[in-house]
Amino acid sequence: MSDKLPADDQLIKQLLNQDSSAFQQVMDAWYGSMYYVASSITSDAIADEVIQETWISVLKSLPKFEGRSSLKSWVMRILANEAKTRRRKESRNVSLEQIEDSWSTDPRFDSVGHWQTTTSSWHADSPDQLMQADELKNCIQKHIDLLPEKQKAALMLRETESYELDEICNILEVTSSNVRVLLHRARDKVLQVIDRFEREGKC
Amino acid sequence: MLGLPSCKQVSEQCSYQLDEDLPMLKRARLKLHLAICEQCRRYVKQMKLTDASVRYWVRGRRMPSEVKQQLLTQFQEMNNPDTGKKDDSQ
Ligand SMILES: [Zn+2]
Repeated sequence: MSDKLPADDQLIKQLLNQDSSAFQQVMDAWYGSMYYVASSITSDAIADEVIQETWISVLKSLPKFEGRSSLKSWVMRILANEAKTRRRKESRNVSLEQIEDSWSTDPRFDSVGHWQTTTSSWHADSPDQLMQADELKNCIQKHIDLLPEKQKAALMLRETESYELDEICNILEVTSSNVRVLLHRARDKVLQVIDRFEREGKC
Repeated sequence: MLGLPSCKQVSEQCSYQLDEDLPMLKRARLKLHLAICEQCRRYVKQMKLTDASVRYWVRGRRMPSEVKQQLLTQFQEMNNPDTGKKDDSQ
């Protein structure tokens, strides 16, 4: 789970001391999180640009960093702000009412909310075993990209483990009960994708 | 019946629980439901694994080398505003 980075104060010292290898290490360690946050708020096309701009402003303001939060959360907050200023028009925005509608008629449950179908049993019980097949990774990527804008963004912001729920609410401009719903629907979708892959061996 | 949640509600609550603790009473009712419902036990387990797998997948993305190179160059230039006088003592 750990990024195997030095502790914050050490890392900051190294960055301020112009240590390129420390900079490389931290860029590598946080790239995945940064990429998915940037791309879900803006788009894949400019995600790397947003990341670059973020790092530049991080490096510029690093001498003033006061350590009230971890370095990573500070960086991720700067990233989210940077991305928000370049947010695209929401092309695939689906209203929460629509999300609720499809949930209320979800065919997996009967009229009193009991399971009518059941998920299959999966071959693995750890992420690295489960995610061994590249087809599954690509399949998950594809379906996450197909999620409605805010569902995708909520999931990505959350799964980068960098934001509290209320920060996600602020970034997405939704209430906390909405963000819970968005997260559940998104995770449930990915779960169904994995389940189909486990059953049929294809996307 | 004891005010237990339905399977559908369980499927939502187990996601909420990944983000923050449910109130005690809800948590107790969820546990009771799970004690008697195998399908939900399986779903809850898979929900946790799904969540962990998405995190795993996020961490696996690698930085394109040209993006990294550009940033490294900028990093070095930033530290040496006078680029004519680069420190090459390493
Ligand atoms: Zn159940």
